[in-house]
Amino acid sequence: MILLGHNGAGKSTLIQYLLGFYTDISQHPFLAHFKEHVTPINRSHLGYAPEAAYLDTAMSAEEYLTLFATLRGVKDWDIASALERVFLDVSPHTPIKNYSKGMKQRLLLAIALLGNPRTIILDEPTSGLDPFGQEAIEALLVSLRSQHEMIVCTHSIALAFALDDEVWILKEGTIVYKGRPQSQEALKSLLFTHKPQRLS
Amino acid sequence: METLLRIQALTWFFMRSLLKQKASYVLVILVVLVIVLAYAASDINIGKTYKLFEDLLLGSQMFVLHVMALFYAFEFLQKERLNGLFILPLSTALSRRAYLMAVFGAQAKLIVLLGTLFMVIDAFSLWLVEGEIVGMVLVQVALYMLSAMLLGFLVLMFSQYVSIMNSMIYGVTFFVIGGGLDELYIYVFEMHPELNLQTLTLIIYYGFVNFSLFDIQSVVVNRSVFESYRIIEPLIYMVIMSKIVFFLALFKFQKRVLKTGE
Repeated sequence: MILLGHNGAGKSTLIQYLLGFYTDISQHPFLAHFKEHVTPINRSHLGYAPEAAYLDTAMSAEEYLTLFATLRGVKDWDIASALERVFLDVSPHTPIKNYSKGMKQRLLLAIALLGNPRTIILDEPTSGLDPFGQEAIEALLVSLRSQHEMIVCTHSIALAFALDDEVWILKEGTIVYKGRPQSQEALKSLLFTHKPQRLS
Repeated sequence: METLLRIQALTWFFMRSLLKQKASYVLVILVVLVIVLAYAASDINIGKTYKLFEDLLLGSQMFVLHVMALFYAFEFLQKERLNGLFILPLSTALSRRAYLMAVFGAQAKLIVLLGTLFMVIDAFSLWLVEGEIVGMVLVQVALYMLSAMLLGFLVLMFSQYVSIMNSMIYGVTFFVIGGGLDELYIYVFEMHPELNLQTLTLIIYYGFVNFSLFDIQSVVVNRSVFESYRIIEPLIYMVIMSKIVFFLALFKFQKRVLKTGE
């Protein structure tokens, strides 16, 4: 599932609803509508990569991966392979504060992929990256699509099309489209037909 | 068993994150400096030999332990609320209850770590100055450790209901009021006994968060008669009060929307 839409359309809210961060539909005006389409998912077989800002920059990749291996009950893993899988060429002990934004994004992906969860949820995985970093992450995600069910929230039309999955377009808290456009251009024009009244 | 391992791993992670703050080391250095100052003043006799030395030693450690409890709680809440530290752990199968247990556990273990370090420093200092390791002084440090832990728990609990800054203010207010309850008790039971006031005082004494139960410093430094209830009572009180505070925090946390930037 690929989530597209303007800023404030409710993509991140939908992801947070899926993750169970809301306990009652009265807690957000969009939730009643979302509840008709999806239900919170079982987090036992889930990998989640939020925005890079949500990492504790005092910690290192080793500390994060060790923690998540325990939290997910993953026994058979090693740091080198986990980092190599996302092309993160860094010492596992380096504090995250020394990482670039692209490196943080790849670390989040490494955490999400730890233990090969059935489903991975990615919230704007290429946001704020330079074109090179963006290309590397997009290629990585495309290579992973056959191994995992993916829920990806993105502003990149190229990535949304390349992932070759069902696209959901959100507008002002409402799911206005579900389907698989035939081309990247078709996807782009479809998205632009759902331009919001006011840009936020 | 699996859940316990997860809680332990998360507790350890939070502890490491908070221990990377320079403030921990600066305050330990401050404690050592106060001990040096106390050592310099150790031959001044103010009624009892070594009273001033022990007063300075315990006073500084009481201060540092409580400041650190506030500091760790504040730092953690900043990381959690503003930087979204909770988001990744709670995207796993970890329950909110287990997450909160790890938060409280990290706070408790950090204070125990610091308190134990102080007790080792104190044991050495007492042996050096007084020629013996005075057990009562170490007992008082252990009680201050419990008091600091309770203060940290209070701030974490309040933060579920109000903003981070307000939870700090409430925590400090409760600490100041709770620290003076022994004086109210003495006034009502020994100076102006009156039945209704005594009943009301007893309710406040045990119902409100009573930090004065952990303070036996005057008994220790004056070598007054030391009764075992002065240790057992705060221990039992701490166990009961920690559980109440935890469940009050959990009550709100179970239902709260998990958002960042609050």
